[in-house]
Amino acid sequence: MRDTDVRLVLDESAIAAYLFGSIGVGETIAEVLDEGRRYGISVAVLAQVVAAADKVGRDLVRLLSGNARCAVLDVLAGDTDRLAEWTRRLGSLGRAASVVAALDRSAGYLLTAEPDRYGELNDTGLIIAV
Amino acid sequence: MRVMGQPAQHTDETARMLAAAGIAVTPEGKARARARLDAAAEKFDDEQRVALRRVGTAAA
Repeated sequence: MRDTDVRLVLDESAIAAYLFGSIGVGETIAEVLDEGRRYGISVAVLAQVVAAADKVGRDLVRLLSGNARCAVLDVLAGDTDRLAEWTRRLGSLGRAASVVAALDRSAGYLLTAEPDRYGELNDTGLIIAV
Repeated sequence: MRVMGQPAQHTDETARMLAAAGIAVTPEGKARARARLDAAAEKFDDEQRVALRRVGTAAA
């Protein structure tokens, strides 16, 4: 299922920034929620973050991903070739899954604290840096 | 950095989620976020989105 009301897809660096109290991440999420839209996290990214976090971090990630206005986004088998190409270009399955998730939503954008990691995409409006 | 001030409008659940990470959202912060979102929407049109969706597909 596609969550068409997802406006913002958080990548691994955006989640890490939330864990460290990033005002930019918090205010962007709050603004999207006040629009009546949702934010999303690819399950591929969520697994990476949870694997790397300590207990305090995991508890915060659970709050972030368990919010009623957060969609945990599936990685679809039908997107394998697209994910492979974006992984080749961006060097990370998590970044690739975040890009595909943002592109596939009509008003979806990708929130990141590491915009330089997105190469040519960083010159487009798809990437919102915090 | 933490910004103190009047909390913006959002649900209690979201306020708790942000507060747990030490984040307080102000009206000024929401205005900054609004500007970021509007700038992204202005810069990224449907044609670009459709073209990038083709990356990695047979249509590319």
